[in-house]
Amino acid sequence: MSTPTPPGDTTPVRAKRGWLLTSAGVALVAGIFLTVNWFFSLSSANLDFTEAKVHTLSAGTESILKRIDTDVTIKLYVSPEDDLMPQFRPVIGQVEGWLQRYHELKPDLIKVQKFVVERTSEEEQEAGTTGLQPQQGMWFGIAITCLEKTTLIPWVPALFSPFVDEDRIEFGLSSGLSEVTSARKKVLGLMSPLKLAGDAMPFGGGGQPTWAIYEMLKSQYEIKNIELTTTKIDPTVDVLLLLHPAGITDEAQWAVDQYLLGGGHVIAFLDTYNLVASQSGQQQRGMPPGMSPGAIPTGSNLAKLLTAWGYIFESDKIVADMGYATPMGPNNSNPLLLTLGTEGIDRSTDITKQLNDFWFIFSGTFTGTPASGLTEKILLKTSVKNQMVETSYASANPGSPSGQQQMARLNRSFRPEGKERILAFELTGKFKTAFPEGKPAPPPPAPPGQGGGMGGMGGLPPGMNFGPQGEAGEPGTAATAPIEVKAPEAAPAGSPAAAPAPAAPAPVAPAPATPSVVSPPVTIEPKPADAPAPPAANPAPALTPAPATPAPALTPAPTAPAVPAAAPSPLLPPPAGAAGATPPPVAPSGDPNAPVPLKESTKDGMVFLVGDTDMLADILAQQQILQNSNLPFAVNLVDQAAGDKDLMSIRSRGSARRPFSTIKLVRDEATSKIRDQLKSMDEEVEKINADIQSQKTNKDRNAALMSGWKKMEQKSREIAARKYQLEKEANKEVKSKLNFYQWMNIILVPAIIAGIGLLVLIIRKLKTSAR
Amino acid sequence: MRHISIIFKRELAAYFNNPLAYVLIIIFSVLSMGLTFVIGKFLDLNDASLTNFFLFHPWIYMIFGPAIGMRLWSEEHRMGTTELLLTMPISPWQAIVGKFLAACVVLAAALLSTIPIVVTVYILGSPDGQMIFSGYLGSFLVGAATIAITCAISALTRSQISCLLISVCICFLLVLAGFPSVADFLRPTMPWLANLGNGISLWWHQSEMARGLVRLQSLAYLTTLIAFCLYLTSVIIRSKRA
Repeated sequence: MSTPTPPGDTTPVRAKRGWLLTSAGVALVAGIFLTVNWFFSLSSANLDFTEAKVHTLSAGTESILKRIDTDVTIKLYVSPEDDLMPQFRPVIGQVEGWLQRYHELKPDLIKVQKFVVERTSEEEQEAGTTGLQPQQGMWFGIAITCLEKTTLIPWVPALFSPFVDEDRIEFGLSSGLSEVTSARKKVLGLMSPLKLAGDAMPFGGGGQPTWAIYEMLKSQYEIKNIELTTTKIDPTVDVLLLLHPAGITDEAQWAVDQYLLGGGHVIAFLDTYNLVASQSGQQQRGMPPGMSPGAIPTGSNLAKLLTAWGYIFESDKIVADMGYATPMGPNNSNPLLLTLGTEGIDRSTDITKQLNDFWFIFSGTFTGTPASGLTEKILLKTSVKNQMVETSYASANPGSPSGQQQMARLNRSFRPEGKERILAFELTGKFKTAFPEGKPAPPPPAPPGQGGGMGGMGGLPPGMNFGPQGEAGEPGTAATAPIEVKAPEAAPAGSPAAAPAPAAPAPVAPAPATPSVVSPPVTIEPKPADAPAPPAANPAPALTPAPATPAPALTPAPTAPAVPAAAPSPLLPPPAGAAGATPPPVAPSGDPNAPVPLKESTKDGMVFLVGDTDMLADILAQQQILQNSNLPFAVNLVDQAAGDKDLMSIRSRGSARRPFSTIKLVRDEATSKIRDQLKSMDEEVEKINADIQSQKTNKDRNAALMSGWKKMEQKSREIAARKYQLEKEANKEVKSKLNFYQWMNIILVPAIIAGIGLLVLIIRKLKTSAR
Repeated sequence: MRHISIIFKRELAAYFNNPLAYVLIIIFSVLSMGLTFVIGKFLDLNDASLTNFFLFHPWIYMIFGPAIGMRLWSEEHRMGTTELLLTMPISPWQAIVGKFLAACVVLAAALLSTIPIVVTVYILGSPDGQMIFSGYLGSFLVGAATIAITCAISALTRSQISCLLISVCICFLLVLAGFPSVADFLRPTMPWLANLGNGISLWWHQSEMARGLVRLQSLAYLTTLIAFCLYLTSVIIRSKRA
């Protein structure tokens, strides 16, 4: 029975009022809490704590977004996380973060949609209609659409480089937005004998894939192919890009000269030994014999233009750089494959300031000083530990025993020149013509019976020359005769180092006199014909860096019998002194309507020159080239020349990912321990080889070769076994170090804290018992 | 401030003078490292950014926070010392803040116990120090939020077990609300709910800060959540006192 409330007692009423007031107070505070959070959720303000500011949109992106005035839809298609490989899962969050930032900058115009694509779902069908394809069963692509235009990022994780400090997701999105929202693309004139657009071979053959650089440029520019024999370059071309212009005629150089003087911008990637071209005459898989296209010369030059600008590009030499040699295994590195360090990259220009890893493959260098009126800016350069060596080093397969011997010899005989060399540079200023006499005369037509196209199979009409050829009309020979190492002897200054055709290609054009050789070059010459038959096939050199770095295997050439290097092409100017040498330029024809050739540029011109073209050939080493700065560098040059600075400022930002760089050092430390053993084994092989060479007569040499061959084979097997053991031990050491860190983290601190806790408990117990 | 300090020291002594704090710190350390290295395959990811390490923390705090905070007021209610405490010349706010700060010190000590992984990544690579700082900031705020939630629940009940269970459930919902699978499930049909889930999710805010992106929205949410939960604690304490 409850106690009745005495009359006049307002306690229950007051209690009820108190509850009401309390509830109202709580509701009010909750409302304030929700309102404050809703208000802050509308704001995209944030603090970017990353050192590289990877979460902050760059000025270039903001500029691009400001230009957008129509609806743009960005659709992300991604498989469920469980269907993705573990390394791709964190990428989803990063991509969504970027998409969210784009949407926040233009919430009315940029719409972002995410579709989780499961197998046989409607989302999968829709993803397919956009043109996206799954990679190994996984979907992770983006489609950007504006009105009728759609551009794709087919595989988003490719924009994230796990081994270098770059993320390109912002660039990928911004360039996609720029592409779909731009009314007109700029025109890029392309002069190159290389099949950058790929080629579908007839008869169902394989064919060459499209180069990634071509795809990247095509997405931003309208590409116009220009022949290497052209006599005029359309002034509507915004940027002229020459990629390995092997076989360019004097008339075409004149056309480039006039285009430049007329205000055009020129970018030229030259090469002393182009690896792609060296494989261009080989049998293509699936092609009937004799139907492969003719070979492309391996060297390219713009001698006339460069001379006028004050420079020389040594067509017969490649640079070996010990300071930037690429590691090829635990015990060796290849100085002909350059992995550029930070010191070799100019950080003062927008083109290269955010770029890091560069990979040069058998590169040439430029020497000289700019002509009056021109300013030079070096973008990329070698270290001081470099030496120019013969191009014949490039034609040897580093994976073969003879190739390894060559490398070993190069390493031992290397003499650094002590000065840096130019790999890539910019020239600006008022250019003067390289053809003061005017337009040069066209080359004389080829005599009848000689093939008109490259190759020169006798009897065929012009343009019908197929098949790998040596000299015109002769059957092809193997690309490598047996290679023997001769004692080094000084090469006469100024002479090109071209070996006979089977081993090394002839220079493309008469090279200017080379400067005197600083140190006696090591020459490699093929063995005379009476040597035992070599292995027939000569696969392309394997360019496989050390395991610690991403190690893409160079796509090996087909194993069909190898073919020689390029035969002389009618497109090439004949060697100096030969019949039909280039006649002096003729005076203008007198046509009153013909434009007057320019002698000097009307305004400041811009030329970029790079000493290697293979650096862009992702068909050679896809993973390496797609992940380093080679391609962004090339596209940056084009953007700079075309005046598009927005995308250049975005390209190659820093990354939030930080790889474990010291693991490589641990591996190197582990392998260096038995490096001396391997060195002495290498020296034994060298000694056997030297014994063979020292024989006076062919008969003795043959006998020594037969017996020495077996010893060399055995030694090679021992070296291979020791190297395998070395790798195994290095891996074991790395693994044990990593295990140590793992268990130290899991157990150490808990053990320490447990110890501290026990100590405190014991002290308390002692104090208590003392009392 | 003096009163807060007195309560703070009292609570801290209560934590560290019995095995509870040490056991909690050891469990946090073993769990966070074990999940990172063994389940998360930290060394195989070849990334010294510690993002994956921080992403496990909200799941650990789901239980760790309630474990630290469950005794804050439930113990007082069980022992009957709540009224005694509140009759002292201190306001309820001072007691609440003092206790909350002491619990945060235990949380901070647990986070400090993960320093070896920071040392490890500096040895193995060159991590982004600022990003690691933002990850720890996010982890601390998320942990403090779970403690504040538990503080409010513990003011409601005398049983620590009940407090633990209820707090774990609430924290679990708050962690799960913004998890990618949940957001992906909701986004096609109810995008506003997916966005709301992100906004209230402890996991989502922690994941952003672990990547080095400290949103004003995250700072505001976590600090106001802590303040709101402490306010609720005060309301509950006062109502019980009344």
